[in-house]
Amino acid sequence: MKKYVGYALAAAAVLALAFAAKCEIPAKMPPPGLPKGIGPYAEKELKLDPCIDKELAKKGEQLFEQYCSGCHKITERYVGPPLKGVTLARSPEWIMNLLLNTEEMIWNDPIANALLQQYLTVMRPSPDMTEKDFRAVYEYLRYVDATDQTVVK
Amino acid sequence: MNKGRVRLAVLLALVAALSFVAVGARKVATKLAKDAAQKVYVPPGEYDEFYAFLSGGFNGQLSVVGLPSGRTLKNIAVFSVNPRNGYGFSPETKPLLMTSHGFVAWDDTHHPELSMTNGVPDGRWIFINANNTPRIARVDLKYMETAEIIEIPNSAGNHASSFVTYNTEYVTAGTRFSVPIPQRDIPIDQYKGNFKGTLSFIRVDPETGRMSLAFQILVPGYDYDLAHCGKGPSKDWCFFTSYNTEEAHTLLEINASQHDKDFIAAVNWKRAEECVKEGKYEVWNTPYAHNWYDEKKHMAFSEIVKEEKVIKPEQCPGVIYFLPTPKSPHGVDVSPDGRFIVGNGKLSATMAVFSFEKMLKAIEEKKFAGDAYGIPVLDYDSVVHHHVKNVCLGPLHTESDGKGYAYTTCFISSEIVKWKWETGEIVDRIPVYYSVGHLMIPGGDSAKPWGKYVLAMNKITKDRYLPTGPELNQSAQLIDITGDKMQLLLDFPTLGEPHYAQGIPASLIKDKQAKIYNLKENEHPYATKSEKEVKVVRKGNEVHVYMTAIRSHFVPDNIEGVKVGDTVYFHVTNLEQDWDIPHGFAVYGDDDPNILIMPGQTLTLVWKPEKPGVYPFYCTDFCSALHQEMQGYVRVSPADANPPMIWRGGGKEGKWIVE
Repeated sequence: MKKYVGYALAAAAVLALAFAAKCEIPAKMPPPGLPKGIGPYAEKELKLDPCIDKELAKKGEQLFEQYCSGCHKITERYVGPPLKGVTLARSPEWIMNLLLNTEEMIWNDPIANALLQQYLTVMRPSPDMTEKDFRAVYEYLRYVDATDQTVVK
Repeated sequence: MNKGRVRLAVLLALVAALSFVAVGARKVATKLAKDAAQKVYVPPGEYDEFYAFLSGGFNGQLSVVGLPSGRTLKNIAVFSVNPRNGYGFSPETKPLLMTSHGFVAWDDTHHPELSMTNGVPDGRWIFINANNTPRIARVDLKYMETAEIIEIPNSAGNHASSFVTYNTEYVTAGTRFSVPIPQRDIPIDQYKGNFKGTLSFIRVDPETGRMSLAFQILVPGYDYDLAHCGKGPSKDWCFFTSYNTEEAHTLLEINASQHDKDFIAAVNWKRAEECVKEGKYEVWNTPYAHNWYDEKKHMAFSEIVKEEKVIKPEQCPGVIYFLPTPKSPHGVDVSPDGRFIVGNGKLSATMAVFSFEKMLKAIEEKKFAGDAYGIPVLDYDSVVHHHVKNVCLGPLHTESDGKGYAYTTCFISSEIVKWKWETGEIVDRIPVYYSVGHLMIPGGDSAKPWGKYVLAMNKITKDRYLPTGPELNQSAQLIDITGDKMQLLLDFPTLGEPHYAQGIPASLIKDKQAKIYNLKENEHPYATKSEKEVKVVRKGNEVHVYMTAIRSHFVPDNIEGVKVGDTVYFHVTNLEQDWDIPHGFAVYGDDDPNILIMPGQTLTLVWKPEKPGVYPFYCTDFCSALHQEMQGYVRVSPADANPPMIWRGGGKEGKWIVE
């Protein structure tokens, strides 16, 4: 019971913050308590701003186009799964771990491994991408989930 | 029968007998040390200690081999087309094989040499020569691909090549086959005095490696066979062996074996630089090709240059001297400290070791025995340091271990002989199977050899492996030289006929290997950097398909609108950015049916469909679990038809752009 009160309070706080900050685009937050996966974000928290950082999302969109779109589409299955809704279904830490620690995640994390079994292609993010780049792509996906738009405007 | 004839007959009989023993059909049991297997075993997942680069001889390639395991890691196509990846077929790589004689599909590669800094291999580039249509190539050791090829004008039989100076200021090239220079139509029996050779120095840009022909020295019409440049005290000099100082033009086997001594040409390239600066040269206009690969544009370019600087020795005194050397010498090698020069006189059982210091003194004191076409011939006794006596039959090449010892190969007696540079004392011999040509110690021709192994590259294989019909691969043998006695460790077959080779510790180059082509930096004019940029463009009869490949699909994968009479260019960009995920591309019925595209790279396949129909294309490199699904179709309509010009792929459909 206490836990739920905590969640409610946290949610209220986020909403309050978003309201206070007068977000241009308020983000939709993932529910708490989702698994974090294996990797550099397993033990730490990725703090999310209640507002979408549009500039970062725009950069993420470009990176997505260049490095991810060969395998992923937003609403349809392609080589890999469609990505719409991913920021609500998975924790930010899990997504960052998948991007930064792909090899271990796809073989040892139960969710990532189930996806590998379903799609049968080994995911290989570009070695060119930095953690900052991945964070930008994540922001783009957050934008998609917040606005239902695939182009950052 | 006079005494001389008897002696000759006995010698010939002896040589014949020894050759028979050496290459006889009888299997020679090889005595192996008990721990030989351990010394060459590289456990799964572990790496070899050395990279070795073996010339492929008549296959025109350069083999990359790991030592001590003897595993072939890659064959780099240099002077040959390569069906594996489309090198020499794709429009991006074809210009590399252009010459003043047009496109040459393959050649005969001989002597690779690594670039050096202070006389030590630095792992940046490796140079190799084409013997037949004279050229020098530079292979970039980051990509392990051919980066540049320069043709050598006024040359033929480009054999005394491609040896580098102390700090890779120059790569050398020399003519094995003297010819009329400049070329002209004259009777062959007017060889003497009319045929000439050239010793060429190709400047290497210290930053980019870019080559340019700096100057050529016009020399008498002998056969300039091999070379090595000096080190330390002798670093401003290069040494070239010659045979056929008789200037014979027919039956050289006998007619070019008359003189007791031929020459080593000692060239002072610093002096040549001075003469160039002072304008003591002629400008000649024999055209030659210069080809280079632009790694950003993923494309090679070729141009014809029509100007070269030719130095005539009489106009530049001090640039060249001849050292008399017994007899028809083949290899010329310099000790790691640069003090000694050995001529491996292949028809003499005694090898002359010259002292560089004595050579300079003899030049200063003008101790000349005469001249040859105006080039001073140094007095033999004034320049020789010692003789290595009764080395063996047919000494060819010498390498060093950096511990004061030299190792010489003996073709006729099939052995390697170890001797002391300083004294000429022979300390060990080991038989090799059979008829060894070159040998290679990693860094063994440099100022700092890594003297752990010697690799014998044998010309004759016979019974060493399971037989494969009349044609057998050549055979290499790895020998441990860390102890007092040389110890045979391993036999392995090599591809083509390796002439020379180079070796370098893996640690010096393995970590700088490129893994991908960075897509962001891809400036190929037909690159398609994301599936959004895919298009098909018609320009008259040319159809340009801007195509992408990623596991496991091409975009587009349906193309309609092609007509008989069109030339279709599939410009395929591999969108992958992960190491070792190439995609292949092949289309049914194409003359040049394959390209292999590295991650981030763009390559083009050209196709001229001849009959209407629907033709499949597919990925030829097993890339993923859905590789078999990585396929598509091109519809070809009759020349006079009017088909829709559309494409599909990536879940989209598009219309062609007609320009």
